[in-house]
Amino acid sequence: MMRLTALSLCAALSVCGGSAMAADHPDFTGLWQAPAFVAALKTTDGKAPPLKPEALKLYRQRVADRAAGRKVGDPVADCLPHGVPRLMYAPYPLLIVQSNGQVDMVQAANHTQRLIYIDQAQVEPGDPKWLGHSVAHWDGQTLVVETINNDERTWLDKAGLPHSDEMKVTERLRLGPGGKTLSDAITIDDPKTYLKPWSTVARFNRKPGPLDLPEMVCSRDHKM
Amino acid sequence: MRTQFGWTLALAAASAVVLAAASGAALAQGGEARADSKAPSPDPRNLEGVWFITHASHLNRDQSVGYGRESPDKELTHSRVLWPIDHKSPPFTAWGQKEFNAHFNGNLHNQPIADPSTNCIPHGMPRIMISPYPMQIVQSKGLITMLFEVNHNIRLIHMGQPLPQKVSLTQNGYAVGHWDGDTLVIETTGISKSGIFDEIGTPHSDELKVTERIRKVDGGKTLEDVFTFEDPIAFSKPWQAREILAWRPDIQLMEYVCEENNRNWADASGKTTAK
Repeated sequence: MMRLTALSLCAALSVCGGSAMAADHPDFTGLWQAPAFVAALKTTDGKAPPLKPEALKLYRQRVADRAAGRKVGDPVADCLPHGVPRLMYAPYPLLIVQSNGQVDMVQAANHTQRLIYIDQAQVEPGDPKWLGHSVAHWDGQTLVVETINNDERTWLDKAGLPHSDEMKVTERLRLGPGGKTLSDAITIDDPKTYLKPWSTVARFNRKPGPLDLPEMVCSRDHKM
Repeated sequence: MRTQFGWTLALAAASAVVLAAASGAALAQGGEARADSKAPSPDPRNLEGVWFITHASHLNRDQSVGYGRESPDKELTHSRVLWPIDHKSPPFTAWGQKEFNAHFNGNLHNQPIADPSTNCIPHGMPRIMISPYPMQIVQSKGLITMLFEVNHNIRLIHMGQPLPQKVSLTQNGYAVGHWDGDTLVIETTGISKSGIFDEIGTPHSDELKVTERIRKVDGGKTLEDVFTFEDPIAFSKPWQAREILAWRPDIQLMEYVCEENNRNWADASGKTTAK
């Protein structure tokens, strides 16, 4: 019964995955884009993220520097990776291809790859990467992604929300009605930077047309 | 012995290194597949997984004489030189030869002409296919995605579509694919001439068309890619190369961020700042 349901969903969307698609899980394969750019993240209930005093000072400095036209040190301005979760809501198309026990993403901005391994053990903490290390499992129709080893040099948004190497990001990815939208409910757990874990949500619309990405090369085009 | 800056010398230089260097990137990546790793898919049209060029080595320009013209592994190409299947020089036009000589002499005299990858720009086709780093294939309906570890290059193969009449130029080009039996045929055009084929500097123009015939062999543990190159500006006739990649379920792509602390940056004139 589950198999039939998934297959008919597949047919309706014309976007189902390749040979390795598990029929009883949703398939996020597609081209996605956030409908609007959010420069400064808010919590799910519209509040400012609960920064600890030191982190708040750093954040305010970054905001003030940008407002004053000073160099702010945003890694993205130097063509470095957005990091997780900022990569998800960068204002460019996000290609998701799901197969092979993985959900893999290519953010058009500087063709940045994010690989998510399903049902694999998480790595040991302590070896930060620009995009951390992501493992996932299914919770019904929702893919729960946990990312650790997030390099503290990345920002959570353009405004300059900071985090530490100890940040754990939990995302709950879920298709909307008819597979036309995708939501990413994000929880940031970083006791060094925030008073308590907090959540926000990123939403995406499916882009119609063929699965394709523009070639965006930051070190050549100076745009990201 | 620097009187002959041609393909023969280049082949000799590259062969020397393959013979001398046992420590390729493949070994550094973790050696043989684990005994408990899963078997390759029995489906000949399922190319998914991580693949790694079997012949990865460094090119040592100082070893230039005394070696034969054949690749050490007969007709196989390797990670630094796209070796013509017939062991002969690619059939350069006068322009192609001139460009090749400029690159090759630059390497020889420690004044390399910067190529896109020096500045973290995608390597370009066909060079990206022979990088000495792993590549992962993901298959979706209508799309085959190649994810490359080196400088997070990507290739998107649009399945079942005709080659467009006109495409804008990109580094890795625009690729369409179809199945011919159990062989994946990929045609790529729209490849910017800013890229070069390989490290010794085989050039191409914007008119390059690369046709690849990719199939699984050896029970799916090996991927064969036979390339045909057509470019009336650079070559007087089409020529071919053959690459072998190994199935590597023991490898996950690692993060490769060229943009961080790039000490190889080249300025607009192509002069590198490498020390």
